[in-house]
Amino acid sequence: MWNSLPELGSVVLCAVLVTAAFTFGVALRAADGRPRWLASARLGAYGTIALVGVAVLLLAYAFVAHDFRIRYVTHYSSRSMSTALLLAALWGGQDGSLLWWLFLTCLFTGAAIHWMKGRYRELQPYVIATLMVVLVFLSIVMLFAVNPFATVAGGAPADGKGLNHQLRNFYMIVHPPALYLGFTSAAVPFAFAVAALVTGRLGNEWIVASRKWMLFSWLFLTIGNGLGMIWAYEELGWGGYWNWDPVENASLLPWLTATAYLHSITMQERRGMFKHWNVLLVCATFFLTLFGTFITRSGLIASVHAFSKSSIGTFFLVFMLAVIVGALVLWILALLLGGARGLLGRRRDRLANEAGLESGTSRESAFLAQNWLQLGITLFVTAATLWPTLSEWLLRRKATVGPAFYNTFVPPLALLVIALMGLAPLLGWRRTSRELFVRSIRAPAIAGLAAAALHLGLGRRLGVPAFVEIEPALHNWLGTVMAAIVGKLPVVTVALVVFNVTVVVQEFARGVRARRARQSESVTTALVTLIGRSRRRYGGYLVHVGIAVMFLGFAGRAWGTNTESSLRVGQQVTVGNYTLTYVGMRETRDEEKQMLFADVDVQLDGKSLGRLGPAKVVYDDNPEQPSSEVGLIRRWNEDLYVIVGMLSRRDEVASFQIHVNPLVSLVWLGIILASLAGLVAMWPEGLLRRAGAFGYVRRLETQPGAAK
Amino acid sequence: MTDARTEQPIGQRLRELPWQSYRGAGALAVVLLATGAAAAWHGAGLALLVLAGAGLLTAIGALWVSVRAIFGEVPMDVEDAYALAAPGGADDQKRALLRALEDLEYERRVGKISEQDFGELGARYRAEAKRLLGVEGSASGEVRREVERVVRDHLESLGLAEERSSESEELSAESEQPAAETATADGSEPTESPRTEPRATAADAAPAPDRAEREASRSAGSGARRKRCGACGAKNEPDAQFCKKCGLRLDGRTARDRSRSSRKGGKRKS
Repeated sequence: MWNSLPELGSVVLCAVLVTAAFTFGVALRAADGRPRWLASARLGAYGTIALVGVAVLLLAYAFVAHDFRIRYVTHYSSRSMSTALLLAALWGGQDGSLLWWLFLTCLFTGAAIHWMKGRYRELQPYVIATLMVVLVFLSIVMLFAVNPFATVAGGAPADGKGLNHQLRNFYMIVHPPALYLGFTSAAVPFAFAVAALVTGRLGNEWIVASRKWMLFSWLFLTIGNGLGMIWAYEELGWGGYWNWDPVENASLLPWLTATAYLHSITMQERRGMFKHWNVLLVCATFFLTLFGTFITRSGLIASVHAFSKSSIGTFFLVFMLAVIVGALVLWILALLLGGARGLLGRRRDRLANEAGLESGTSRESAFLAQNWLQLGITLFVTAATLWPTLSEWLLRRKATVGPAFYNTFVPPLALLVIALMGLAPLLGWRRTSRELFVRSIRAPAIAGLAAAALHLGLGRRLGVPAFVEIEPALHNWLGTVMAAIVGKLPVVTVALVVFNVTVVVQEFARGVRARRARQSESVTTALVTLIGRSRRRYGGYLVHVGIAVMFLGFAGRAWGTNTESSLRVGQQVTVGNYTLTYVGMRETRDEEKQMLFADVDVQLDGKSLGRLGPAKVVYDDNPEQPSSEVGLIRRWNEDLYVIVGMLSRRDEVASFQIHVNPLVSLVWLGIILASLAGLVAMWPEGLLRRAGAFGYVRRLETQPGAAK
Repeated sequence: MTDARTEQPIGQRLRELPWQSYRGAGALAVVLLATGAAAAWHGAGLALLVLAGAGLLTAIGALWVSVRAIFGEVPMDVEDAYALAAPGGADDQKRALLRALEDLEYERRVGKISEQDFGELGARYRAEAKRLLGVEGSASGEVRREVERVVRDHLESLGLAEERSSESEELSAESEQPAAETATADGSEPTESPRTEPRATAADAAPAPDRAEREASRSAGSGARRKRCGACGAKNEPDAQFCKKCGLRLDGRTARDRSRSSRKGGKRKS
């Protein structure tokens, strides 16, 4: 088998295409209420998934066995790499990462099909058919554009080129899979939305079915983005964790729409509202996962960590258009005929909301405003990311927008979302009386205002001023106005963070009090039971705390110090309270790279913190592109971040970029909190997920004592 | 209820289920053992090939059975058969409604929602819950009877028939309690265990959505008075049949009493 491994791999990919297409057809036939066809579709899907698993295992074997006949293996591995790195190389390049994408989509397809067994019988055929369309698309891309089993022209070389050195980092090994998990799992809620549109079953059924899948997607997008931020901070030498790079933006966009969806489905569940909106958000989330892949891999937008330019852009563009047109047609049919099956004479009630907004001071209004703001941020970031290409088309000149532009316009919008995040839990459904609202908001508002007053009074003395000077990003009146607004945001952020945390504490206190009023429980028992029994609500509140903490970390950027300095050996530079002394240059080399260190001794207020060794790394196989190793001292309140720019051996001069980054640890803490809280919100509700007569019988079979 | 082709009773198929899962687990264990042995003997490469081989066999097997299933050469899975009768997803929706009711109770208790809004929204959720129960009950009554028979057979085979039969009957009586009424206030969990899982029997006709909604609007819109339980004094929704605190029927009889009387009635008839 291994003598013809490349051919076998390609044959397996062909088989995936054929079986996915077969399963698609069978699933559509099953939609007529034919249970045997449905069973066949499910088995066909499992078979397809197993085949994709075989393709991944064959490629993994090719890496481990150093089969350099395969082009992808040659480009992304070498004999010197460890087995762990060889396996990580599966997603290190374009071709393999798409196969990995297909594999993860298959895993979620399998999980969804297994989970749906015995339920959602009306939706199931269309869910399977939609997921099979995604698999067919990815198989086509791989077979005709980026076949990971394609062979090297002219015979196998003795050794491969090895994995990109920037990817040889723990965070880069775990960051892409986490992000891919988030991206690929978004296909399942999308499949449910399509099934709901086709069948016209746009009530709560598909919402209830797809919520946890979207929560899973949201959770992994959060983790993936967080790991990406850590990787960028430690490896790329940007001086920060977020630089509004197109690839970063691409992973942020579906997170924004997924977050909006997770809030707006509550409206549909509780009030029968936002039915159209929810369909739109699910489709948008799935579309944005494709869009992110498209801009990252098509070569449309330049990015520091984009994949090389390839022909898959056209394939993705066509599929994205098909998704938009398809979703639009299905939505129109749902509006007019109550679903696409209305064309076959099976009309249902037309898609219509059951209620409308009754008051501005209701939770629905707060959720709606929050949704609009998040969609606004999504559109803004999308347009800004595409601006280099759009400006070329529209203005006939290529214009780019840098981080300063994003940092001028996004934070005010994001803080409005944060304000609504705190406000919404205080509001009741339909309307909130003035008296109830004042009673709910009193404590959080007092806490927020007190924090703002303290910040105004003591901030400057503590080195965290309430107002900061901002350089306008645009040289016109808008730039001046926005710079003035953004300069006031530190105090607003502090106030809103305290407001949000107080709201959550108050909500927990109310819940505990309500439980204790009815049952004699200790505070701890009441608190644990409260969270355990309403994980969605309290998990969501804890996510809010995580996001608030993260925003306090973001506010730290305003108080950071950035300096550039060229030093001779023995010279010092002072940045904030830190004094850095350039000690000298040091050189090491191993079998694949040369490292030039510029050692600096660091003192804080006269006390030594040790020696930092920021470095330039020159890889033998890519000497034109040296990379930077960051020198980093982490403290709970701030990081000292040193990058060496230019190193001169002759006169022993080194140029440094020195950043003091306050509150970075809060960003990491916020991500961890939000991720753990997301896990709480999506944790299964009990041993018996499928209650009912059958579940009862099965439980009796497996646990004879269960009926006692 | 039987499989259309094999005429095999569901009960027989149900008993096969543990063996089926053991077979799957056994196959998985063999593959994992073979992979581990291959890894130990010849490193990660051979282990990956063993896994790939197992994957290929699984794919061929699944696709072969898939094609045979279309032509009816594979007996229908019991879960599929059950799914034919019971509209799927109702459990999930029911649970979501119970959560909604629970949340609503909580919000009323902490003063986030007015009594009027609480009444209107609560009535809407309860009406939807009743509709779901009705749909599920009317569709799954047949299956339920079959499943109850299987439970009885199984308990008899374990020598627990008498003791469990009474429990089983109790279960069937309890199950008539509408789901909406099991929801309790402020964070205390609506009962979700299989014993008390509310499930209407075939005798409960499915209320049409419009009828349920009419009931809801009647009870909410007219500001109907809440029913007070004669035993514990708890206030219950106007359309409640059971007390949400002590479980007594609001006409004074317990579920067990009702079950006994209906059993006696049944025996007299027979």
